[in-house]
Amino acid sequence: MNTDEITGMTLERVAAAIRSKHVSSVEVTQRCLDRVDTLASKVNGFISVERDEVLKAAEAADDALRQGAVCGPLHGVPLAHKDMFYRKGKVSTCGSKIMRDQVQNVTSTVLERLGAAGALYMGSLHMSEFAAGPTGHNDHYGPCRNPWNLDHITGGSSSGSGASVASRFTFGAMGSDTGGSVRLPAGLCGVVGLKPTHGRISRFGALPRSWTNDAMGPIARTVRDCALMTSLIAGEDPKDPTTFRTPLPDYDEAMAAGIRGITVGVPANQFYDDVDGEIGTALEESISVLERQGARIVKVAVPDLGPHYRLGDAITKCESATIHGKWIRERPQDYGRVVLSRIEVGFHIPATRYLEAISLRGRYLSEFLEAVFDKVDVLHAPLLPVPVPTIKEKDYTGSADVPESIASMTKLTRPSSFLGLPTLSVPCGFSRGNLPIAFQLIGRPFREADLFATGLAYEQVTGWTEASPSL
Amino acid sequence: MKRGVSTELIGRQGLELHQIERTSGRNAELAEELNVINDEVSKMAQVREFNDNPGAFEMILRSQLEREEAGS
Repeated sequence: MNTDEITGMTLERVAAAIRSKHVSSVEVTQRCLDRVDTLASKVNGFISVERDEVLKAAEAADDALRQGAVCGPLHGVPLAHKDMFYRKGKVSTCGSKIMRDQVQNVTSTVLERLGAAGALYMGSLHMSEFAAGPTGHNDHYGPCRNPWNLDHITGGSSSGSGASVASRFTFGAMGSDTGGSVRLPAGLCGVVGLKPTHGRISRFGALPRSWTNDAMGPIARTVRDCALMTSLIAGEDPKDPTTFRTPLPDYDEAMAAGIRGITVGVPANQFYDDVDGEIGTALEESISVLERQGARIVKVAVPDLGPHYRLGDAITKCESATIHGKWIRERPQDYGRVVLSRIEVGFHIPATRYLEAISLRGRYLSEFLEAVFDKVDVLHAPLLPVPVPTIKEKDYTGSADVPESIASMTKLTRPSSFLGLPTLSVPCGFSRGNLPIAFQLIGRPFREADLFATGLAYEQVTGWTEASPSL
Repeated sequence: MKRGVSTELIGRQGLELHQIERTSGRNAELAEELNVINDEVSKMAQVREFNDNPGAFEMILRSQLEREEAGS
């Protein structure tokens, strides 16, 4: 098999090919590294590549396989992740200057679980500084570039994860999502991303941005790959007390059952207020596809999203100011200007405002469940209401521009974070500028299975996730 | 009474409460941003009831989970 054939495989297929010895882990890893060597600098997707370590690990994986030992479903598959999942004895830059040399003393639970499933660590991916930014800009490492058009943003903050999966550098990547940071780069780069239910996936050993709103989620080329990664990393973790003890559903079974009988809601208000024409057309077509696949489509009135956005944002600002307080006092010059400007106001929000926001979270969740999920199983919604902006358009000129510009990117993604609801972003076409368009599927708490089933039913008959950018 | 925090108050808070020194231009931007957040959150908080508390969110998630488990 040539490099394109190998790197073009899905996670599920490459894992099966290695297990069945159709291709070795060393060969797969070497081909991914070749592609990274040739093309990664164009998109600026990697912060570091662990060439020698991953090749050595691949050799060990092949040796084990020859002796009949299979580590797990991802045996010998090289993956790369947003550079904020800590590994004991290694540096995680978190996209920052400040943490560039800091060696971590723990390993994140998601990386431990992927490792236990046999995955190898190929490298660390670009991200917005301290996971604070929805565009993929970074003052220290330069902007990440969209592989479909290098002048355009990738979305962030898991910028390298979206760009590298789309560019076929890696078969899947972990990201984090506090207000859209998995869903935006996945959707803007034409791949699939999941923000899980609050408490579904452990956050232990990952950079905190907001203790309340943070969620860790996979980005992969297909819905099935995303479900596979989720099945390997989700579940209770004693090291993260916010995780829930509950058996994981069988996602394969849910996807095999299809969507006949599933009710998909289309927002009658709010979500479509500022949707651009060609985005709206792609979304309408995607709804028709779901209907043809057997879903019942109903219009549903959704509660006002304004409070979800504003309260979620206020909480994140307060928590970020607390997390970064010491460094902002001691070395403000080491922060990028936009990141600092986003965090700073958190020092001045009164504690009572913060607690008001947090104490209202349950009330707003309850209201949303009743208004939406008493009527539908899954809510279909736009991800970004406009075509993917250019890097220049989103290169803020002053601190005062930042809040409005951030809001234009995250107004449709932040509500799911504040409400803790599982949300999957799925590609649904291309704009006139050949940049990906995507929709979100929002589900009931802990019903990721509904999202995978719905996403797969769409993906199977449209094939958008098979498209690959020519770099 | 004048509503909202002033640039000067933000400057003093920064220095005296957080030991952070900024330009007056930046303090003015922060005062404007804070006043928007403060007003909006205050308005939204008018729906708060006496017994609303931060733990309610996880309780709702837990009850949803129990419903799921009972149904499966």
